[in-house]
Amino acid sequence: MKFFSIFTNTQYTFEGKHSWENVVLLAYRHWFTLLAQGIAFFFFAILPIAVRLLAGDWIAQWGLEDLFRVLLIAYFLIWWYSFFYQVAMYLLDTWIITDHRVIDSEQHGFFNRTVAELSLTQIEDVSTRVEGFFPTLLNFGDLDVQTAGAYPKFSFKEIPNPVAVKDLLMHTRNEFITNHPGNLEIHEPHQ
Amino acid sequence: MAFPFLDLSAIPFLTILLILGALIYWVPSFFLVYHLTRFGIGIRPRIIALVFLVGAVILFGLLVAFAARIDLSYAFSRLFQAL
Repeated sequence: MKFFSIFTNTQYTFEGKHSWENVVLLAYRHWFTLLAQGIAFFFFAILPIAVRLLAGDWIAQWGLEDLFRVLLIAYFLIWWYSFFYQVAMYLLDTWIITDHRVIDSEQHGFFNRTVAELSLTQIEDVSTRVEGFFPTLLNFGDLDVQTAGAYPKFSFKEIPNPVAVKDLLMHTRNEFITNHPGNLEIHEPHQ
Repeated sequence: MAFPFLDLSAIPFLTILLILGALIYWVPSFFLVYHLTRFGIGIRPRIIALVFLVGAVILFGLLVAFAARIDLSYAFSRLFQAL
């Protein structure tokens, strides 16, 4: 069915993607950045079990099993929402390299979203920074793109394998410059 | 002071509480699903949105079902005895 194709069929499309543009890389933060929150959520998931074990007799004595069950489900409803909120914020912080440009899309809450883009020709210099024990061990860090002129610096934050991404970005930029002499974009007209 | 026009026992407090709770819960839940399906790139955010929605519907259904069966009469009687 056509509706369910949104779960199976994707070309890494995003808002504002041009028909002639291809996604070369879609980067999220490294999964390790979610780990601390994951541990906290695990702790909060087992907390009611501890409460039940500690206060079980008292709850039964007062005939509050029904109320405890309702409060437990309400608690897990909030837990469920909070967990997926964190996952959503993680999934909506993305860096996209296409064969024409670089897009930095960051979500800081539901009503605070910043999207910035940079043409590949504006890239002057790319540097990576891997700092700390876990980033070195797991190979993740920041990638900074220095741009021409007064454009602000572009940062890919805590992405996996930043050196490989840097190489890919430079390769894509060089290919774009080779294929677009004079920075001219020529496309077939839309049918 | 008595309220001759107001029968407090006739007010469905639990139902009102559930409706308020549903509003407070489902409005941000809608935003979550909306953001994941609109701004998410690729299949993964859509699958995450679906998993969240299915889990939230099941949990909310359980909450309503258990809340409808809640019986605090024994707890209240013990409380009044204690007082």
